[in-house]
Amino acid sequence: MEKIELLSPAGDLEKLKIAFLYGADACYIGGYDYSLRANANNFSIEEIKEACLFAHNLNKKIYVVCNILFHNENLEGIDSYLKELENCGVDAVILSDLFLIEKIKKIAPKLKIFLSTQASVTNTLSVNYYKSLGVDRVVLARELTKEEIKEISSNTTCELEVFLHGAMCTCFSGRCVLSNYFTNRDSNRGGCAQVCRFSFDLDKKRKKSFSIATKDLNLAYYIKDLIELNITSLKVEGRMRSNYYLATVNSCYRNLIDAYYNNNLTDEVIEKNINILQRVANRESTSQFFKGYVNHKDQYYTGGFEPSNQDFLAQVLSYDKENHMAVVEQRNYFKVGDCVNLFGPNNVEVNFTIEKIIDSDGNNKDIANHPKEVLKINVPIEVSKDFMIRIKV
Amino acid sequence: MKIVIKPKNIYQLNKYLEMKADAFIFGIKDFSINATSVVNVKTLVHLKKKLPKTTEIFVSIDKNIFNKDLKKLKKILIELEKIKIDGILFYDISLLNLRDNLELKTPFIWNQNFFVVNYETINYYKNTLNVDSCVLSNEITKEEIKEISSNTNSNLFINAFGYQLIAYSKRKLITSYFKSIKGVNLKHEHILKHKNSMYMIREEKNGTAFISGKILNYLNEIKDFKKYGVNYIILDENNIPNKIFLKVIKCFSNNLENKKSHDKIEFLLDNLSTGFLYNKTIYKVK
Repeated sequence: MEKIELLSPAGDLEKLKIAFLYGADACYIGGYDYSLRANANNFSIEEIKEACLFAHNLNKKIYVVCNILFHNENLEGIDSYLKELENCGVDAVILSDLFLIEKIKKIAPKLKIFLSTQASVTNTLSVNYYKSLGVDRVVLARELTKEEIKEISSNTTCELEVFLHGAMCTCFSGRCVLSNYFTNRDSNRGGCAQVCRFSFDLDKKRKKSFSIATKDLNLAYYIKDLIELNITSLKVEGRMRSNYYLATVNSCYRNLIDAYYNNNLTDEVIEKNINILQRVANRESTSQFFKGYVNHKDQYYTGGFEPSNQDFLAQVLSYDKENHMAVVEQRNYFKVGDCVNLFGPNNVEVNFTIEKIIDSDGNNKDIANHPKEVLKINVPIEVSKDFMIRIKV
Repeated sequence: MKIVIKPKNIYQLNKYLEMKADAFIFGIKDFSINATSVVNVKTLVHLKKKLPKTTEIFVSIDKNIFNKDLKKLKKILIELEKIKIDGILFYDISLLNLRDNLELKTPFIWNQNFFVVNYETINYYKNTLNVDSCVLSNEITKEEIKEISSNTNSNLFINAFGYQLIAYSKRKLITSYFKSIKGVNLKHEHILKHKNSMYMIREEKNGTAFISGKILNYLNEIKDFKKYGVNYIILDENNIPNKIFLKVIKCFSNNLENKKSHDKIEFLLDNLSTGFLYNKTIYKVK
């Protein structure tokens, strides 16, 4: 049985490398055009090429999103873009607009075709129909329960991709233009203003504002069930997420997936990784529709308040081998005496106590309280760039 | 160009016809969302008998379809085929799978709300999927409509009047909210307010519908649309008083016939809008 794929978002080249180093099997990225995150950094063609080289050297894959709903003015340039993606070595294109299927088959036949969750595919007949049109993989709608996914999976040979973690839309993906009406920003061409996170009044002012915001999705607890659904890929949402978020989420799910295949998925392993996952986001999460139903407990009524994450303490920049010290960039407050967690690529992880903090002038410090200050701290193992330090959970 | 009505009152359809309506769209019980009126196949049979043979009858099956819906959906499609309905406006592509497997001859009309925005995809539906009619999305400009019309031979429908669907969720958002505030919800439909904007939100069996706060009104555009080659304009009665709506239909039919109307829509209703016709959306903000 082929191992399930862990699919990570990546908003730029640096994030892509982090995602792969921390355990993703494949990354989905956006170019400057045609992507539903038009305001993310995104990738130039040269960067897409570099991303493909990096990924393929690790035996991993790159999928590029072309998932906008094209208006007439967007049609120009798509032919050459698809050809360029094929030339870069991109493994698949994720699309929403069906006219692209024939185009890809004609112009860039090496590209695999994945159908975006924007198509809101919720039943077997739709999956099979899309497959008959030439779609290689369908990203299922997030409104499906475990049983519904199981039924679809049992009745199709099409590859299926299911969302595993991250933000949820309030409405069916692709069936929402709230952003267009509220802000004149086109939700289906990458300008979504996330109106579903606004606060409203329902009929009149009430003590508690009306909210349609949803909590995030988190299916860590169901990793065994997901793998046994016989689907191809588990997708993490978030091309605009930080390096720390991507490192944490990918490493946690890597741990869980590998533990399953190594027959080592114990309650302890699950609890530990769930604990870390719940802390990394700035929103609460639930299993949403997967568990079979949703209700008010899956919604968010905080009036738009989302506390920022304080767990990420420092980013390692380099290693002073002679003195066994890491050069780090401060991200949140920490001090001498704190017991922290150092984690890095390939599941490396160790707890240690901060005994020494030295600033760039060589002075000893007791606390690190200046954002992005470059410091040296003692570390128990050899580290490299891309290691990170967080609160010990 | 034909005038298609989404009527509230299915028992007085002759009144709409008197105003020169040409066709109707009905929702199908359990398979339509945000429908102005909902019927079952039995009622359609009855309506078809009562209406003039020249009146076209369309149904809207625009719910997101889940596996548990498929058995009943198949049955309904077979029944609709038997009564020779003039067309099915569909959202979910599973209907095309069923159409092909059951070898249905009923015309299918692509009505995937916000997806019908360029001529390439419209032509793909026509040439590859054998769907030669579609309902244009409301979120495109007049120029875009013109460009689409001149680059396709598909039959084009346009929503030309009424409150429009702007989002749909599977969640029961109003019920959830009242549960969270330990309150009691006394109605299906509410006003959603944000700063100076007002919209409607309506909870129903299949989920929650968000509806535009303004009434779309393309009365002054339909002659141009007709020139472009648009075939059908859709007028939706939902939330409009019947007496006023009948006058609205008259205004549209008079306009098409180059006749002057006694009533002006601007005086019958406030809160009108031409939507995105002259208002292009943006999507790159940096």
